[in-house]
Amino acid sequence: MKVAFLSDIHANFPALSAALQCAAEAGAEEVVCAGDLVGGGPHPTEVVRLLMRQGVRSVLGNVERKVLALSADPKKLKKAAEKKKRASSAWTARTLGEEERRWLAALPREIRHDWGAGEVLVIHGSPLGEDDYLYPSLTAPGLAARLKGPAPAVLVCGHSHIPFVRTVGSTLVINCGSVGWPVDGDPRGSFALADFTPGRRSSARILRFAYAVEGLVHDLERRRVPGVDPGDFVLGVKKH
Amino acid sequence: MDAPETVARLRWSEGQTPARVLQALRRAGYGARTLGRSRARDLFLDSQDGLLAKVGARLALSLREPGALWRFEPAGGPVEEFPAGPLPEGWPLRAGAESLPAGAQAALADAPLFPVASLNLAVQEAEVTAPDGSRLSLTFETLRGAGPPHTGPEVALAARLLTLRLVQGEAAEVGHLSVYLRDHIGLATEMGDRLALALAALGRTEPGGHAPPELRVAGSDTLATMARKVLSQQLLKIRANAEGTLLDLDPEFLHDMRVATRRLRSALRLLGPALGARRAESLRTELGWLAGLLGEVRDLDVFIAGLHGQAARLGEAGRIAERLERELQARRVPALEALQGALRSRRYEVLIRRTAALALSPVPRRRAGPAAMTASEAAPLYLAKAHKRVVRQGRAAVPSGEAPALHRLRILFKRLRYASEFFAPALGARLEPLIRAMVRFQDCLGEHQDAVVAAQRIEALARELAARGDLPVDSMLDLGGLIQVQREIGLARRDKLAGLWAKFDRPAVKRCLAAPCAEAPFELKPSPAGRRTGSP
Repeated sequence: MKVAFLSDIHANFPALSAALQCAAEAGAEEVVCAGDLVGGGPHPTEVVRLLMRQGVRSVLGNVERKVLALSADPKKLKKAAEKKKRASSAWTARTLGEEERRWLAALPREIRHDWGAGEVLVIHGSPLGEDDYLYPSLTAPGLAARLKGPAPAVLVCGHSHIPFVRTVGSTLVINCGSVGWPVDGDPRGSFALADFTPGRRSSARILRFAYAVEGLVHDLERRRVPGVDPGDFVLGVKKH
Repeated sequence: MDAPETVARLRWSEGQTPARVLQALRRAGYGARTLGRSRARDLFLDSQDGLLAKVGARLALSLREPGALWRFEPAGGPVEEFPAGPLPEGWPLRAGAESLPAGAQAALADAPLFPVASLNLAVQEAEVTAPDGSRLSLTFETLRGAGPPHTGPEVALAARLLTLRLVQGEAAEVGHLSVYLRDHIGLATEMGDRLALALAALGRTEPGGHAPPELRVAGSDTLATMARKVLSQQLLKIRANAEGTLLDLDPEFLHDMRVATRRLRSALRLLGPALGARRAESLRTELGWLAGLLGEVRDLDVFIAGLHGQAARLGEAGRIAERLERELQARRVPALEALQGALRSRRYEVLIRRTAALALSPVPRRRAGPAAMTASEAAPLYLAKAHKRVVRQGRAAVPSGEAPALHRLRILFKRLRYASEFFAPALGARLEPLIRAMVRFQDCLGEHQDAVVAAQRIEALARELAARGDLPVDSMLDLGGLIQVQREIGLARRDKLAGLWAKFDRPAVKRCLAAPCAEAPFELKPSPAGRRTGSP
């Protein structure tokens, strides 16, 4: 069975649309998202609605956690809107509708599922939490230190926006990269396509897809999303 | 956060039929239902100066089943439409006399309406309910042909336009739906509405020729860029008024075309070095030909319009005004024919093409020289120079009150005003009170000059009629009375000028023009809404 793992959509609807189409063409029978669905981009409502409508299972990312915290506290929201670094999260919190916020709030921190080839653990950052990163330099002791229990057959994550597929110890580690905000200098979005066949070793590959970035840039400017440089999406970088 | 737009437009293709689009929307969680189909022929109307186009609104007389409808499309919000009654013959149509939609009446403020273009189209209406309960109308239009407003063949169109409008609920839903249609269903975003598409197919400009945002001068524009933008703005105005002038629909078409020609010439003189001095000068000379022809007719129009008011001051002797008007109308006919001949000529066509070519010419990559200066850097230099000339002439002309000196002052003043208006968008609102004061002063100078010219004209006409033996003695005396009225007007304006000049010839004005960031020398008062600025 082929499963597409998406992550870090960052409210980029044209990229999500293109990713879903690319996944369908590649034969994916199911789509799972490893968090950071919103934040940064101009389409939080559109992204959440499409994922809701398509029944995409997802985990909570660090951005969703921040956005939900801001939505719940008007004072914090007002303060955040004035700070450059948090203005984008505040904008997202103000833009999202009640139904979309409820759906985000119900997201789990991790998904454990067996597609017939061993346990797959889907998290956003690392098993330690949404804010921790897993990079391609990950070592077996590094992974073991982060795991609370027995190692899963496959570990799927995002957060770093750097895509990779590596076997670390006995675990196949998949970082999906980013659908909506690539930062490795390649402006095409990325996601992982995993193949789970019973009785065989699980495998995965990173797929990259192009999307109409001009629509995104147009909407970033038109909707005046604060704290985001549209050029980052065009170049495939993230300036801090 | 800005208020979200309540209207969005997309293009749909043959493969993306309304039924398929609605089906895709249902799959995405929207409630969608079709409302009906119709064939229509819409005649778009607007005022001479494009009051509706200026605010992004459209008014159409729509011929659909079962009958004619007034259809008003505001820039945002739902469409207003109701059955149209029988219309009077001919143009213009008085907005106040017809029961137009309320939105159109408010925007037009009793301005006469002229046809802009006609559109032949097929329409399919649908309504969509967003997941949050907001209601949106979807209008799928197949544009088949566009017709010019007066004469000429219909141009075939093959455009398909989908317009989303918020009917009820959250305005953000228009944005969500348009993003979904664009990025998930693959419809292309369309900036212009159906009239904009029709006008583009017909090679025409928007009514009134208002400058689109991309042609607005910014402080960071180099002089080379600014000069091209100013040329494009004035060319738009000329083109928007050319047909109305040619068909003599309303004197305001000719007036606005003349003003745009004057501004264009002024821009070529002022910003010529940033455009290529020789090319600009050659174009300015050629535009002088057009300006002369427009001026001939316009001066007669102004004279005739002025006569009515002045005749009232003469009581019974005012009868001569009717006679005079007949004579002037007779002279207007050949002047207008000469102008119409010019507007239909190849020379005019080439002139417009040359102006457009210069306006669209690439900006040279110069790192030094006047063309490389930014508009905000150049403004104080240019304005201070023009102001200095005005002050020198004004100090001599205003106390003397001599007509030729005041006429020269008027010309220099007009150059200063045009230069201020060209640079004003780059400098923010600071110049606005000063420009309004300039308009008042220039109006006064203009009325003085009109009175001087009118007296000369009446005198020349009287001599001509007397030589023909066509002027009875009592009429001659009446004409003398009319000349006296002109002299009184001239005298009154000269007296008023002294007061206005004292306000203008002040160090604060000089400081404002030499460094437009300094404190405004005039109190910033909003201009009365709907009032046309005074003289061109």
